[in-house]
Amino acid sequence: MAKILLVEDDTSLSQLYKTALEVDSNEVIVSADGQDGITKLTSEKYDLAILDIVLPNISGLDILKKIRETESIKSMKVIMLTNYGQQENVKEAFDAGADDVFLKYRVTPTEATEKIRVLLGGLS
Amino acid sequence: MLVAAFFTTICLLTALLLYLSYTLFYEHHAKNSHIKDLYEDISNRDQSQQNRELQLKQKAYHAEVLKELSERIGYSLDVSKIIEVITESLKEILEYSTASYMIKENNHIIFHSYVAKSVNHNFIKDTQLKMLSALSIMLNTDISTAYIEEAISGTILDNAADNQVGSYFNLPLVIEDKILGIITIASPSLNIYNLERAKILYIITQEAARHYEKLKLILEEERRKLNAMVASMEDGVIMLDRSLRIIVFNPSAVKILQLTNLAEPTIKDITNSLQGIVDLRTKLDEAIRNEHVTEQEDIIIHNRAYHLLITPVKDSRNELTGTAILLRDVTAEKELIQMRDEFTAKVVHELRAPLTTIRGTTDMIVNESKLTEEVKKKLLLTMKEDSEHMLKLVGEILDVAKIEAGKFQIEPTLGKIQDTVDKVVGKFSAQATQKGISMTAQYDPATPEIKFDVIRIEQVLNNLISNAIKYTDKGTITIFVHPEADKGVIIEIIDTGAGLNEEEVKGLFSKFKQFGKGKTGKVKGTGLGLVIAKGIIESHLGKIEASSKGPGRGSTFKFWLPLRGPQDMKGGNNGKNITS
Amino acid sequence: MTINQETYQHLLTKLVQEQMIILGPSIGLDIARQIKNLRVDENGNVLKILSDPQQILNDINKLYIEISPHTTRNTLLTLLTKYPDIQKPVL
Repeated sequence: MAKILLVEDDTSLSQLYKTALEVDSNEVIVSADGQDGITKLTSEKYDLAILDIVLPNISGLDILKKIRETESIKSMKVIMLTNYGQQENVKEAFDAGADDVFLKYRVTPTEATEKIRVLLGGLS
Repeated sequence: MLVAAFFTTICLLTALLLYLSYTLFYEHHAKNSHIKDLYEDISNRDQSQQNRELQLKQKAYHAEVLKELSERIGYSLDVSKIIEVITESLKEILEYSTASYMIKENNHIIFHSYVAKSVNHNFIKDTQLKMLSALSIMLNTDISTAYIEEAISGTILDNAADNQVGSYFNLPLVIEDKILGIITIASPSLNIYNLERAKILYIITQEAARHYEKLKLILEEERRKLNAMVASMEDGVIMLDRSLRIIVFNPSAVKILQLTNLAEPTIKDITNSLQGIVDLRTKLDEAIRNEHVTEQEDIIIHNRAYHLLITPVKDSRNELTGTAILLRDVTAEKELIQMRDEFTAKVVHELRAPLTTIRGTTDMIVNESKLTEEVKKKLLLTMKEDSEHMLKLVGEILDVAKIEAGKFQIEPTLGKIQDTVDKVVGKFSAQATQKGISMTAQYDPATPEIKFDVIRIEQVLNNLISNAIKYTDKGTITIFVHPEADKGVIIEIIDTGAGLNEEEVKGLFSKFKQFGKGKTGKVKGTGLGLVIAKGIIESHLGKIEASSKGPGRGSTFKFWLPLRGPQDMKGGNNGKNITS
Repeated sequence: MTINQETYQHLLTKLVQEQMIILGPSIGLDIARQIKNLRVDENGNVLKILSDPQQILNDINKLYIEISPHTTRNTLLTLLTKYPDIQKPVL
């Protein structure tokens, strides 16, 4: 049972991911805004952050960089979501410290849930 | 006695003979012009033989120079070429050591000396001084202190040689009534130049000058014709002769390179204006060397994109006479291509998102056994919404495509537009109230019935009113419907919302600028609503416009519909797309 | 209006001497010596005028014009400004 923060502005999609993850016994908090996401990350403890790269205010990559710079949360697991599958974007995400990158149009929420379970390892 | 007489007779006879021979001889000598003439005749004959030879040589030289002049001067109009032609075969008719020319330029003197037979440096210096004196008198100004650009060619000078200028003569070079300079032939030998020998050169120099003037006129006429042809071309056209002098430089080229303030631009000005953008000299060399067109695409000059073409120009003898440079503005094409690519990318992106959700949803429903009925229902509902969004998107893209192709069809019927406005206002009133906005409609009673497509105008009103609500957080939204003289009906929607800046107003009805906007908020728009609204209004032969006093100061959307729109009741805008 | 021999002599001398600089001494002089009724020394000084000086001016001008029309015209006109009473040669 992991506590997951999902920052994604496409509400349909975030609902879908939330449903899928919750079915797999995770607690999912959803935020549609990057700024709000950061606030949440620094005020509560999460096992995983799933961040959409393209967000209205601040980009997902910037949030990731902030996580890796903040002492208290720098080693938390972070997965990036993107619809742009170009090499550069994926590489950029990994270079910034992402644990994994999901291409939204490739990966289904069910598959994502499976991968997340593996990533989080022993947590149940 | 006999001996004495004999002796005397002999003496007398001898004396007589002597006397006779003497008188004969004297007569012969004194009055014998005959022999003298003969003698003179013979020596004259020698002389006239020499003269004839000289005349023949001069005639041959004359003919050769004229031939060379007409063949070699051609397009280049180079004065030094004329001088070359004159001095080249000079040695056939004259003995000389140096053939020099001096030309007066604007603020300096060009001096060139061709050394046929070696002389020392003082010889050259002396010649130079004599030429300066001559030019000074000819020009009526003292040029002895002017800066001299000097060049010496031919045999190497021998400063050990002890020779001074013995004889010389000058050929003034006058073209188009202007004194250009002089040519001077010099030699250490004394008295070798006289009028007889040199006259032909004066004649030839004059003829060469006339020839040059004629050629210049012809070239100027051709140039005028060329300029007239290319003057109105939008492409920039530049033509250069072999010496890289500008023959043609049309107004478009001047504008493109931004050289409008120069009275007489030169190749340097052109290469400078292209510095850092393209190495023109190298490209010119390339075109000339390879004897075919050289191109360079995507040249950016002052924020516009151009296609550069350079082609060598040849005359009828297949000899290079110059190069032509063409600058074609491809900015619009590039922008269009870029915009189209961006638009396509955006469309793909917009469609992918809902499809992703739909796929995810179906995948989950199929594979996940732990879902409750409630959850499943919620998921399916989301899927429905996404599908509807996509259908709407596809529909709108289709509409826009039809509008652009002029194939957008409307079905106008006679009716009261107030009713349609009422319907839409009613539909959105709850939403307005929820946001705390006061929305009212005012109808001028004199508003006539007009012919309009009810469904499509409803679509326009849906878009305009929902936008007004979306972008207004407090205040009012007022809709006015009133007639415009006898011509039609005006509908205005005025809000007190977020307003727009100048640039935003300009881009409102552009599919490129709008697409992909409107992702915020609950109702996901495609951004194409206004584009389609414009298409609908214009299909009615009406007009739509937007204005705003600025950000934060609200906006006004106004459209006008004519009383009777397109001629037929059913269908189209006659295949015409009206752009305002 | 008496324009005496001396005036013409001055003018012609100046003319010949300038032409000797412009065209070169041998050519300038050769042309002057073609005029039968004119005596010129080797420095271009006119020693004697043996017939109507105006006619001589015309004739010598004609010869110089044949060789180098533009410079001759210019030089003559400039010179004549200093001799206002002398007629401009006709061709």
